[in-house]
Amino acid sequence: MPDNLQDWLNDRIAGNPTAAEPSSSVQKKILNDLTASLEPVTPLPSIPVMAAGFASAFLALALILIAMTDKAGLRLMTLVQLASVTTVLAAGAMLVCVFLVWQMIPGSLRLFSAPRVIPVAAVALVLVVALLFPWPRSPAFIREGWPCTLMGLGIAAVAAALISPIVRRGVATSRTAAGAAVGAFAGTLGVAVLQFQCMRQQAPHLLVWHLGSLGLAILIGAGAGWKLPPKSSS
Amino acid sequence: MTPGASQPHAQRGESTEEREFMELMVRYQRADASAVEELVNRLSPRLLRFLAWPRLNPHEAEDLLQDCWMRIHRGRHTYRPSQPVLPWIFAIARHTRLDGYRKRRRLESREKLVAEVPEPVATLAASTTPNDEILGLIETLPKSQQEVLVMLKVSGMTLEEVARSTGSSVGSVKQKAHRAYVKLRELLPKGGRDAG
Repeated sequence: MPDNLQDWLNDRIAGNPTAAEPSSSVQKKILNDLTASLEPVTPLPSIPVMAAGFASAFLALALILIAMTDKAGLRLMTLVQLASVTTVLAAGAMLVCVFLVWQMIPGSLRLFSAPRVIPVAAVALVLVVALLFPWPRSPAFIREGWPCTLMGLGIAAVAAALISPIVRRGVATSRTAAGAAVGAFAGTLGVAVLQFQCMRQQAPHLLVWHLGSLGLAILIGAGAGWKLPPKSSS
Repeated sequence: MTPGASQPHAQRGESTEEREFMELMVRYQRADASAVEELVNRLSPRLLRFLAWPRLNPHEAEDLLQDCWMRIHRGRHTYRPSQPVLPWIFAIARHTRLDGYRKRRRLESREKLVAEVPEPVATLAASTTPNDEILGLIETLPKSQQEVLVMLKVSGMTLEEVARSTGSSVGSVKQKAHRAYVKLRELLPKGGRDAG
């Protein structure tokens, strides 16, 4: 674009900058409100530290929950299935942790575009399951499936309850996006535990009932974030 | 020519300003009242122009400004020392503005028709922008392009600052600004096009 179009816009849009001063009474009220509750605060840790913290929490919770189950999935998966699913789930969990921290710290520099990367991760997970796991027909598809979704959501609810107070300490911008990020973290944890615990290692079951619990967790998280009031104190 | 890169002197000036803002924010986190006062005095006019865009009346804009400062205050621990202050502040302001817009829309949808239409209230944006025509043109752009343009031109932010504030990449901001300029060039009256 030519410089002079920008200058032309600068002149017209920016106008007279001194004309938009807030009134002195409003300025005074703002200062009174802020200084009335002025206390020292400790800044949040850096983004890498916080993301590593969430990732560690994810890993610890996943290991504890997997240790508590009978690990049928772990026994049934082939080495290729196990390696592929673990890699995709680990990469997804890292993405979700970074996304979660971005929601907590306004104005943070985003290294990747979440709306572009998250669908790519989701497609990678679907492809891994669709290509590496068998597609048998099961007459009890629904009857055998819904308990898995329920279990995935139960695990997600526990994980969300544990990390929500930490996330809410930081959220100053979009609560819906933060809720969705909490849902994604908790839902991914649910999927990870289900994957190692479930004895039905078939593509239709995994795609519908396991990944379905992740989708539901994200939706519920977004809804809860939209509805819940912000944390009132820092 | 990339948008936002046409004022090198202003940008160099802003980096000094930005360092001052960083120091003030750190002092604010340590509960230094004089830092709060300086930040409020220096940033409120910029925030008000951003919050009032495009045609909000002064009363509503000042309400939003108060709300915005309370959010900044509640979330001041989320500011990371050594990070730029403006993107952090404007990310919060952006959501204050968005919530204010949603609230107004909810109220408007509940309002009943009255027999007499009240006199239109003078708008803050109108008093700050001499050319109403350009306002009308910008309002025809998609919301995301309007937002980028307002942050670049009204708030005087850099591309990276806008990217940080809007939670997107610098490339995406550049693309939106470019599209906005192309569209504006098409829409501009002849006088404006000649200027460009």
